Amino acid sequence: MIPYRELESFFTRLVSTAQDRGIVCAITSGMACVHFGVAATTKDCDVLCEVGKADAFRELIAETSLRDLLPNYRGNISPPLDARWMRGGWTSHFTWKTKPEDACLDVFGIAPRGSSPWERQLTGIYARPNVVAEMKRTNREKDWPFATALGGEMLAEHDMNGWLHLYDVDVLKKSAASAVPPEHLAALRPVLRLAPFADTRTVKRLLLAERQFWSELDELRVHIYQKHLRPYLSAVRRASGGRRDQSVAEGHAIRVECALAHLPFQPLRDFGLTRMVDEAKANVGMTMGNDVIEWLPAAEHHFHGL
Amino acid sequence: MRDFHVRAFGEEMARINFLPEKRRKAAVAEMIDYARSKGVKLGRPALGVTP
Repeated sequence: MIPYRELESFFTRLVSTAQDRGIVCAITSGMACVHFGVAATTKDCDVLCEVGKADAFRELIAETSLRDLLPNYRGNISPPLDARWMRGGWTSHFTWKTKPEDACLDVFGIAPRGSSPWERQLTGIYARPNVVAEMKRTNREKDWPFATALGGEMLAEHDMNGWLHLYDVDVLKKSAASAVPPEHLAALRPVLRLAPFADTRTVKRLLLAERQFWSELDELRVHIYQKHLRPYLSAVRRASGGRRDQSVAEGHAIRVECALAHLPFQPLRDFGLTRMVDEAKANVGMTMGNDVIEWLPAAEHHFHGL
Repeated sequence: MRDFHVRAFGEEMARINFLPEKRRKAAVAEMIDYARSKGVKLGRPALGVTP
């Protein structure tokens, strides 16, 4: 078993090397959370990479060995690491077949739910907490405390955008005891207008509505991508002839060919970003009451890069 | 925020979260390796899209 420290060191070196080569990239998700003081038990690494440098980063990955093993694309489902698909929010997966379990790297060009360029929000080899926290608004229950914890960290560092990531009524109350959410943030997140959040029951209900909204949006987003991935997966499996040991270059050529046939460049735009937001809002209205809709966040700002 | 960390993550994780960076990363590494040594799978499926 490769110790976690060695894995962490491997991935941080990979990103440092990429940055030295002029590739804007950054570690996000679990490893970034650990760095920022919100421990996560993950051994995989997620990296944001500037879309325009997809080829360069892929080449770097391809030549980087871990315990003398070169990487492969992971499984048949991985889209190619190619700017054309990265721009549309697709994620590429790589693996080093170490024993007893693989070391895995996920690479994407668009930060999900990003409201501003992630490329301008780096601190060393990590994406800043604001980027990481936006990515935590998923349809997985376990992700939400990380968003709140990161938001709290941001406020402690006097980054007022932290207000956008607090999803706990007690944390909101305590934060409001010493500061007022700025008006421009309340425009993005109406719930902040309830500061100092004294009406606990109302705040709790609206926080639930917000979380459900982001969850619905994420489910819809994933569903849109997965619809296209099924035929793509079959095509890659056929074209690979059952082989799982292709080099990154070999695997890439197969994946590009299959992706050209099965993966649209911009599936979310094709579906309609406004349509996605409207559907998610409608779903929340149905389950929680239409009165909460006006309190939902301005999500149309959270498709930056697409 | 410490109260929140205890509620959200449990006492032990909250304690780790407030350690200085070096010690925090060492504690996380130890925790992850221990879990893996006991057969816990900490990996994630490849989905083609980031959740």
